[in-house]
Amino acid sequence: MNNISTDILEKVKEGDADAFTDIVDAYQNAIYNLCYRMLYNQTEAEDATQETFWKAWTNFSKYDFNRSFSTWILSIAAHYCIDLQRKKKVPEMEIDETMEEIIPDPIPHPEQEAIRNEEEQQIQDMLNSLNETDRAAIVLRYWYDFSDREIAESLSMSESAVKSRLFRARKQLAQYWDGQTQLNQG
Amino acid sequence: MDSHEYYEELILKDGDLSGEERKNLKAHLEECEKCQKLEEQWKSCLNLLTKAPMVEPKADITGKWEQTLQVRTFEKEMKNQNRQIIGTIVLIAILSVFSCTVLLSPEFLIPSTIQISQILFLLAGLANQFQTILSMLRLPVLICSLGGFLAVICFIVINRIGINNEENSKEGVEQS
Ligand SMILES: [Zn+2]
Repeated sequence: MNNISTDILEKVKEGDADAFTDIVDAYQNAIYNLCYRMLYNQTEAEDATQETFWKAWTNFSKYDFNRSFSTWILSIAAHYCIDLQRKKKVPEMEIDETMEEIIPDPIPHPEQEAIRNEEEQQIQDMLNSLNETDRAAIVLRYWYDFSDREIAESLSMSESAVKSRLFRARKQLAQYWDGQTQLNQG
Repeated sequence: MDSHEYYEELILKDGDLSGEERKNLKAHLEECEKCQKLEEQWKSCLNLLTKAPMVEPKADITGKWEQTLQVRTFEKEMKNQNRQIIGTIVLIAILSVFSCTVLLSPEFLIPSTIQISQILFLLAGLANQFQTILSMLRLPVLICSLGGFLAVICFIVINRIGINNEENSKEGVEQS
């Protein structure tokens, strides 16, 4: 994740679409990884990446040059993925029990699954066991080395809320790990 | 503290523990199986998390972005244009409804009728003035147009005679 120069940011602020393409080049991997870790679906992550860039482009006037650009753009991606996950949950709750048997668990495409190694699967299963906001906090901490303050800024919450969320999430991950090992042994 | 909470916090703490914290935790772990287990589990998790790679996109994100930008910008412009058109229509509709209610409401009906009739009177007056100006100029206009007509006829007749004379003289030359 390169740090983009102020020169490019100034140009984008003036509406230079070519300068914004430099940002897309520099940040596509970072944004895509965050979306993928949040959504665990290649196509959805690609769409969410495009959506993040579109939101960044159309709301660029709101970007404060005193803040870190990475924090700002990753915050857009995190918020978008959190909202998307919440929206996805709504219809699931409306499904009655007879329907539930027909609908399989959110299993990704088989080809994708074959490519991913076991560890990758474990990581993603672990992340999926968390609620969307906790997941975003964990991803920002362990993939992007964000500090509590940066996570707080990105997810629009207080630092103390981040601390308690991270604590809860870590405990949940550890306990999830326990459940998995017991399953494997049994 | 007799609950495990304090030790759980130490186990799951992000960052280094102080010397005393480490000592306390070590002592507790030796006698508490539950916290021992949590520590082991968290270590495995942390190990996975810290070595987890960044997943890279397989699709051409930049290429797709250029498309997205083009399509979305066009859509946005269309939406803005539609909004402007609808806004104008709504404004006109509101204004016309408003003016109709004002003009046709009982307390305004008489004054507005008077005003409309005054405007009509004014227009009639203007038309009258125009007419008198026209009637004053009737004779000069008539004379001018008659004179012009006569002049055009004279011009044509003179031209004809000229052409005939030329043709006659040419014939005369050929015969001689
Ligand atoms: Zn304990």
